[in-house]
Amino acid sequence: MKKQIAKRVTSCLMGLTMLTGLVGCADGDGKKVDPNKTQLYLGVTSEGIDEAWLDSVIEGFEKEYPDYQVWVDPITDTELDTLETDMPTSRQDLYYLQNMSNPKGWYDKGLIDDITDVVTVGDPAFEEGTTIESKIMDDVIDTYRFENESGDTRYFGVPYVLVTYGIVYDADLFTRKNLFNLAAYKGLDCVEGTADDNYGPDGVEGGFDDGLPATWEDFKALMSTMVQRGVTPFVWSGEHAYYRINLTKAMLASYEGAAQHRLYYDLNGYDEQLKIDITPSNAWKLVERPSQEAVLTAVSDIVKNTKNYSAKSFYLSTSHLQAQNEFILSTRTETPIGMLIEGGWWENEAKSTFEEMERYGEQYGYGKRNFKYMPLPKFIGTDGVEDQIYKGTTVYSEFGESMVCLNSASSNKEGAKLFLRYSHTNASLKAFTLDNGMARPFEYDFDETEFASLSKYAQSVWSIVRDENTEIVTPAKSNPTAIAHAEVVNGLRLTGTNGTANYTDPFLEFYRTANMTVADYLTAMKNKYNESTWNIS
Amino acid sequence: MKEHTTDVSLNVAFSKKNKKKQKILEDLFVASIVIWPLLLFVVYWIGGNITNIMLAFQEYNIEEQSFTFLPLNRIFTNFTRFFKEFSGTSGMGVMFGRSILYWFITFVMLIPHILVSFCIHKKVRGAGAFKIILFLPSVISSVVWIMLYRIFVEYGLPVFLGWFGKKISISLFMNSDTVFGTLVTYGIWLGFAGGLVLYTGAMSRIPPELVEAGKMDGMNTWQEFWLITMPLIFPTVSIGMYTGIVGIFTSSPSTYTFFGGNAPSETYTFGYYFFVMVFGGQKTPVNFPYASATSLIFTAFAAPTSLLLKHLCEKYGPNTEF
Repeated sequence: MKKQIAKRVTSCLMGLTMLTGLVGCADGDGKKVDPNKTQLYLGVTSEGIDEAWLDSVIEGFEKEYPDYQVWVDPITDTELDTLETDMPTSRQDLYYLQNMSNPKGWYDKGLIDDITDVVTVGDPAFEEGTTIESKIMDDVIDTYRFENESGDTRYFGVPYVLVTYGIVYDADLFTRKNLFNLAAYKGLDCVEGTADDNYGPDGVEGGFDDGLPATWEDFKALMSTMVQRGVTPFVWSGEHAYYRINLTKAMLASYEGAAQHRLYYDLNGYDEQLKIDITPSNAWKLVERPSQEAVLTAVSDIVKNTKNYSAKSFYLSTSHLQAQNEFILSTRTETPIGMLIEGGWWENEAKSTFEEMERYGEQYGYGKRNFKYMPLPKFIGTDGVEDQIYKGTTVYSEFGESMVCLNSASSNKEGAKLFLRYSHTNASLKAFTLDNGMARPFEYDFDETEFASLSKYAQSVWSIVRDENTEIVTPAKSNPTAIAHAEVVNGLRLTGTNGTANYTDPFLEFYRTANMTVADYLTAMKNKYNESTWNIS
Repeated sequence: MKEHTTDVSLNVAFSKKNKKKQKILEDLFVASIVIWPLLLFVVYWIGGNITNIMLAFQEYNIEEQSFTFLPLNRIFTNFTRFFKEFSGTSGMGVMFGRSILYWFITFVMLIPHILVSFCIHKKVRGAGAFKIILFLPSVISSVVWIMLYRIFVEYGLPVFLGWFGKKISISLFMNSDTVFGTLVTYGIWLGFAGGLVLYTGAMSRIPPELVEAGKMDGMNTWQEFWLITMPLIFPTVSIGMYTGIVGIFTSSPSTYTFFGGNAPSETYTFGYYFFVMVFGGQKTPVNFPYASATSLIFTAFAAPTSLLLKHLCEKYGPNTEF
């Protein structure tokens, strides 16, 4: 009898559990589908990005256009992998995507619509005198447009997010331990005691990088001083190699400049380092660039001294979140950590850790601490490394490619275009940054109050991104050959083969092979890419 | 009489109609059960295989972003590429060796799987606890287990070995000499769960009267295992043996879950290599035809080998029915 009752209760509970999935069509705030309104669905990836900005944009849009209701469908990594197949039958009208590949390919396959009318023609109902096109940053705009047979420029999408890969530093700690303006710094002229010693990598007094190491030699002095003063210079994710790998690519871009770095993606153009024309058939020569040796030297300098990083940086169990935690929490320990290798979303991703840490004092809360984005030092005056020619600042924005686009299968294209316009007004663009601390690759500005409300880290990113000498490097490949052979082309940067071993992560190889030298790694790169192994033309 | 005749004929007619209706309902019932798996079979097995076979003779046209058939003089390009890479690139040979090694280890692990299952089946002391411990990987997400295993290897194991004066200077996952062994150890542990379900299930079907009769004749536990249990579960064991051959080309010790698309080359097996080529971080349509051709080459080896092993098992293995 008892068993029977238990069975019935279990059955009822299971039934109820199933029913909960059917009840509703309401979101967490109790919003319900109104059958009298037109429904718009947004497919949104959210790796490290908070979707709250969209909530506020949707709220504004629904007030402005009461005939519409807008819903967000989060897209996971796995769903993104199959999105191409799913789009024609999906209910989603508009997409806000990060970490995708080959956006133009989607247009060519008819998956997304031409949105030139929305991008190039302004609408006073939204903003007077501007168009979305006029706001897109010059460095990224080519990814989203092409010329048709009649020579007209057409747009199939607009950029979504600007990722800033690189080094985050704890400016509070730098101040506490006197790590700014070190006496050992020599500046870009590599001469100690001259005016530019503390001007930072841009070599200009009063810029966003004053007091930071200008060259790799200065950076080594910084690491050494940190160790002497009881600070562990680095921590990074042991689990996800791409954090380390993307830092090396950011260093390459910083050495080469955006235009020259694009040769890895386009396989077409004059190489100022090698002094030759690069074409798809000889692109293997890019592994011989001095920049690759420079970056390997830098990685070797970091990794070969185990005091330069937390031991957990090479634990597979150290995820990016754990690396963030170690970095954030270390300030209260006897061995604080000075720098973290991360992407621009990190502070937003670590919000819960900041909130947790607030119990030790308000000063530890989200946005209260002074973290900053560190511009990469220049390779000038480093022994055995050719000096770099490029003098500007680059922001390396590789996290696949990002795009906002319109599903060809959308049943409500007019509504989708309306929302697309609305989500690219200055107010909406600002909402994204104010919520996430990250930038969108558009021209928009904040007033003083708004800017002050950003975290210090977001402010530092914003200052660098908006600096007139900064170039954005995105991974968009324009050459169909490079797109089709993406895995080979991506390997041109710091991957190699040594007998049966494949090298893809210089950090790991220098760490686990004690006697490996930069020359060994370069040989491995040349083993992998040479005239006889290269089969792309 | 006439009335009676009419009644009978009406009844017959009604019964015929009823039977026909019942037949239709039965057919509909069977169709409703069969249609979905049949559809899946047609789409994913027949359709999938036909596409795969065709793809093996195609190449990716970069300009048009589509697959086109290779010209006749190059029709086997994708196949020859595999043999060229296999014989020319030393990494492929090592990968093959590693795949064979992993398959062999999982094959040898059949023995402890069966022995442990037998112990649990015989309800030896602590069998219940062991059953739960070994069965847990089947009910808890593999991602959770992998996280626990990582933490155990990188935080717990060094402490444990420290008690014996041993020191691990580099994480076993980061050390090129130990990383594959560390993954295989995880694979062995995880494999217990599957083996346990399979073999305890097969053992539970053994008629108890057979064992009782043996015991009355003075049979000990070892004899019970060897003379009754093994022969009776052999069909289950042999299926695992000959279907496992394909594992040489498809399996890996959860490498993708541990490392994603960036696993160190020392961990590569064929299974992982081709998986990341078509699914993981290195996927590109250019490689799809090559991966398809390779799958056909693997099938050409695995299918006859599996059939041969099946034949040998049936011919020389214990022939039991119950």
